[in-house]
Amino acid sequence: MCSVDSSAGSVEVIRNDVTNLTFSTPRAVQDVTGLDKSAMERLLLLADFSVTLNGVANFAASPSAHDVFSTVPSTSVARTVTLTIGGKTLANETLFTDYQLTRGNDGALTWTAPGVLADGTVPLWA
Amino acid sequence: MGPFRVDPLLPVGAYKTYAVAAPLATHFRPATCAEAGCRAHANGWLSAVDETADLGQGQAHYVRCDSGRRFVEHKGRNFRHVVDEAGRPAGVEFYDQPGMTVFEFEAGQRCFGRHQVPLDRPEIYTVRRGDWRGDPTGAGPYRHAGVDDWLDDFGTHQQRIADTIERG
Repeated sequence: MCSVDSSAGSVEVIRNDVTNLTFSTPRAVQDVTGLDKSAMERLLLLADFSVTLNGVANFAASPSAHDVFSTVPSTSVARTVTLTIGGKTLANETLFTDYQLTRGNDGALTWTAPGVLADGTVPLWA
Repeated sequence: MGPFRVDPLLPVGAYKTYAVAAPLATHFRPATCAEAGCRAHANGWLSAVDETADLGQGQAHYVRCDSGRRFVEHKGRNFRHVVDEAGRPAGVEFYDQPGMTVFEFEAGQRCFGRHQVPLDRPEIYTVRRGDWRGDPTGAGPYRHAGVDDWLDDFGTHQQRIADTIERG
């Protein structure tokens, strides 16, 4: 299950519209923290995560990903992205930076919503 | 042009990406309005067309002659969405605009959109090097056999980073 907060802070389950979700994270501590980095820099680097959600546009459905992400260009709020998989939950505060709609050659209208971790708190599965 | 993103702090090779995929072609099926929770189907909807242009004339012809939908026609009118003082949607208001026609469709009909709903197939769980900029190794994603393996891999990785930050 995948849910994302609307700009008003209400949790919206948008699983029906999501076709792909990626979560990019620093790969290995040794690799990303050179000796020339200060301790604070190292911590910042380690907390550098990004999220990308992709899906199909489903304007008429309720709730829809469009309801949630259409306010990304006009608001600057952190939204909780929650994944629930196999009984485990990963929740992270995300600042989405775009909501891009694309019309494919096959006529399908798809969207992309990239975001970054908003508060520097490393998301953990619970 | 790709979507706007915040540039990562590290080179692409310093990241790894965990992904869950449910491709449209294999994990979704076409659905009816009712299955998709379509609001146009549930509440009815308005379509405004510009009959001064070829496109609008074609759309109006389709609605009147071929669509098979039930509707009321408002010639010379257009509409806009309105919001209340708090910025919440508060319905629509009509106004005069020569050449425009608003078709008002009653509820319970199939809308003009396409819907799809997910099949209950297990998603595809992968992990690969790199991030949205690409995979610097070219090795491609590693597909976990099941969700449990992927969760274990992802969870262990995140915990290791959290522990490192905790140690400072």
